[in-house]
Amino acid sequence: MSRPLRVLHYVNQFFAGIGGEDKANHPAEIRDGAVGPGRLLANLLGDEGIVVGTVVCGDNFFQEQQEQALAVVRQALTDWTPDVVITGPAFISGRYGIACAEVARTAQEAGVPSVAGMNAENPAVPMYSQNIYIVGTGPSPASMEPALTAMARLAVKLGRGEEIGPAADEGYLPRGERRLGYRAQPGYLRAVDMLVRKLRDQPFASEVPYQPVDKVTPAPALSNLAGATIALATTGGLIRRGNPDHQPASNTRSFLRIDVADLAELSPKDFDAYHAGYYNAIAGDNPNYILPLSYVRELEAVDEIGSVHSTVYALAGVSTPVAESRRMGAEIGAELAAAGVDGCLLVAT
Amino acid sequence: MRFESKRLEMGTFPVRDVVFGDETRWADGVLTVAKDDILREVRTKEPRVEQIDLEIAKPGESVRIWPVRDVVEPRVKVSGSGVAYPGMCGRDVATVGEGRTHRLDGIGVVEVSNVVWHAGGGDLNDQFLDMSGPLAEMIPESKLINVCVVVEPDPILDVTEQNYAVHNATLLVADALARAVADLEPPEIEVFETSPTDPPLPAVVYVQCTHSPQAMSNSPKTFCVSTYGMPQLMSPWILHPNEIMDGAINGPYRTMFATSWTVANNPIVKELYARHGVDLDFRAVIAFKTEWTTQREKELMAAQAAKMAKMLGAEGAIVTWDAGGNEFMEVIYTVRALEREGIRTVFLTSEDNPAGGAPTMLEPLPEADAIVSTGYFHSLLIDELKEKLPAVNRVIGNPVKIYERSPVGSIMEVSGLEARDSTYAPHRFDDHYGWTRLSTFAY
Amino acid sequence: MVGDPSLGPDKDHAYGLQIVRGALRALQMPVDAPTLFDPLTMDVRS
Repeated sequence: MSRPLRVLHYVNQFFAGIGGEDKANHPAEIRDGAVGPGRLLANLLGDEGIVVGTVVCGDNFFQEQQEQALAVVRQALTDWTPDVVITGPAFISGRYGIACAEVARTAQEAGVPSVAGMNAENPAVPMYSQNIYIVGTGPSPASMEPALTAMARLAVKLGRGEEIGPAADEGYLPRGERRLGYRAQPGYLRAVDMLVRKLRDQPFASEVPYQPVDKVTPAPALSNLAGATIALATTGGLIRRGNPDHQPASNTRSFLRIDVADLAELSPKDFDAYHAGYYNAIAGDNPNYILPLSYVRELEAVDEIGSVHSTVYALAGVSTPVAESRRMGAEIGAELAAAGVDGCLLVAT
Repeated sequence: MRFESKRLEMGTFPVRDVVFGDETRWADGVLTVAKDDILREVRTKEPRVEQIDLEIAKPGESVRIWPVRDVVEPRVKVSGSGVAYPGMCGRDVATVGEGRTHRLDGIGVVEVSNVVWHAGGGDLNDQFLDMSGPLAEMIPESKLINVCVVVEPDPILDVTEQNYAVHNATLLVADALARAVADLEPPEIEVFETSPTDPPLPAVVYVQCTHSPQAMSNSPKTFCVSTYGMPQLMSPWILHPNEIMDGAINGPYRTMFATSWTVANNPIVKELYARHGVDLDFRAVIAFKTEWTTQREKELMAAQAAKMAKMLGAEGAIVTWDAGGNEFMEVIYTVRALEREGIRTVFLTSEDNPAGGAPTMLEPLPEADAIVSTGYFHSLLIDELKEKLPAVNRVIGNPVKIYERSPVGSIMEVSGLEARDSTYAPHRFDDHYGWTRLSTFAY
Repeated sequence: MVGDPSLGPDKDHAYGLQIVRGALRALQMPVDAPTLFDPLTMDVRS
């Protein structure tokens, strides 16, 4: 039997029994041993852990004097040398939720693993769930015992440095990571099972929860095209003929920069199309179809546009994961912005 | 609208060993293959073939089969209209799904050839089968005894003709093997029949989306997975589940989870059949060709597939697909269209790499609220299988590798690697039909 | 559209230029959400 873990707990003024809203300015303080729900926590930890100390703080105090409150937390971390920190549970309370999350984050930064507890709808969840372990709880203190049970179980694993399993198994809210693993049944059985449950109005859990796409604020409209520097980019798989850069036709993780300052057009003698998602021969014969250099040069010559940016960007936009696409897009965007480009034509295929 | 209740008897002949011998026959689980007779027959019936040989590969052997274009299960129709794998390579297009079919279980006829899919660019054949090692553990066809048809066509033919020549040769070998059990009484018979359920149960359709290479190759005839031999972009079809059981959808699409063998043995169709009359009423399969090139077409095909399901009385649906990239759009639009018709839908799919917390669906839609994930293979092979697959003792096929995938999963052209050497896994290995337990978990 | 050999070089070039001009016009239009511009008619659809 390994030694009991040293647990530091955080609760607000209400759960410490000091008082309600009228006592929300109660300053942060350190107390010995368990306070309020910490006693139940201590019971639930059993032989696995001892609540050595508790930080108590009023919700308003924490909100208004966060630095002071966190200084007290850091002091407690130094004084008590805990193996793990448990905060809350805060259930649906917003101010308390943020305090629990901040304390958990502070502990983590100091190298002490931590677990916060709160309801999935708590406003602190979207702010912190990617960075700390938050155990999902019911909305009200009626669910105190199951909440603390789950928090204690995860805290013991973290405190002992054990491997932490998937969110659904361990009871914490997803931290925005997805990893491979094996389920008990093959996919075809899970699919038919899930369908039957859905048809019977029985609960089922999608294995890929809906994750909305990023919303991007569009750049303002271009006001003076005749004075604008226009850049060109393509996901049509433009390559140098013979592919000396070894650009892949799919699942691309890198983009080409091509200097076109001295080129009036893209000649098929020098360029080609290599893309695993469309018929390449036509674009290979005239690469200006996938990166319209010849056309914008014409418009540059008659002053319809100011100038064509000297570097063009190219990759094959096929099967690249969103994270990689996001990274490459940000890199290209940053380079264009730094070069003072006003607008960009991106050709997709 | 309700289908006539087609009745199909599937007679299964298990194969526990394959040996070469003087006469092609099956007895007590041992399939004897008269190699010279079969090769002579194929050369007569398929004169476009220039070189052809047969080799046997068994599970557990240190063998790599390279490059692999398809794996076919030997089947023969012994009663009822049509032929196994109808429509492909000029075969009869009569409607299948009734009468009796015999199949050899536990073996594959592997099409091993250097012929590329088409001249459209980028769609190279970099697939292979290892008969042992980490890749073999995942791939259903690696667990089969494989009769490898090492075949090359007359190089003067255009690429589409070359494709049909080598595939026809493969089907002819499969036919010759299946013929050995045409007149025998099968050790196992299963009956597949979508009779009305008593009591009435929720009607379910299966929407099976398969790739069309038409957009990429610029030709409606380009060889690929086909519906009654038709690989081109077509509006959705209604098939009886028994037509799937008889191989009405057949042919490969460049991964080992989308071969003729996997689509004829589609585990979702089998499981829906197993639940027919128990949990659900398996009404029909909607066969849907994907890789439409415009948003309008994608929306239209999705709407029409959902309308068909509604007219079939469906209350539930399972949707699968076999591809990657932009085809995701018409597939997820179909999920949305089904849900909007009030049809409760489950979508089985692989995911993109979730690195960096990125969404793993190209277009996440809130209507797709019941997804079964088969994970993402690239990263599994790279991260968990220590990068490369081990070298092997023997290669069946081309001793030289022309293409390889890069460490991040991209297809790269390389020159003259020994095929037996340690190598990266093929480009894509998404499990399209839920064969494996692999999945993705939120952390 | 462009790249169709039956168009002939002049029409092919004219359509190509129209598409590029359409894209440049789209850059000059204020938008606040994904917006579809048809370069041949400059129909705008949100």
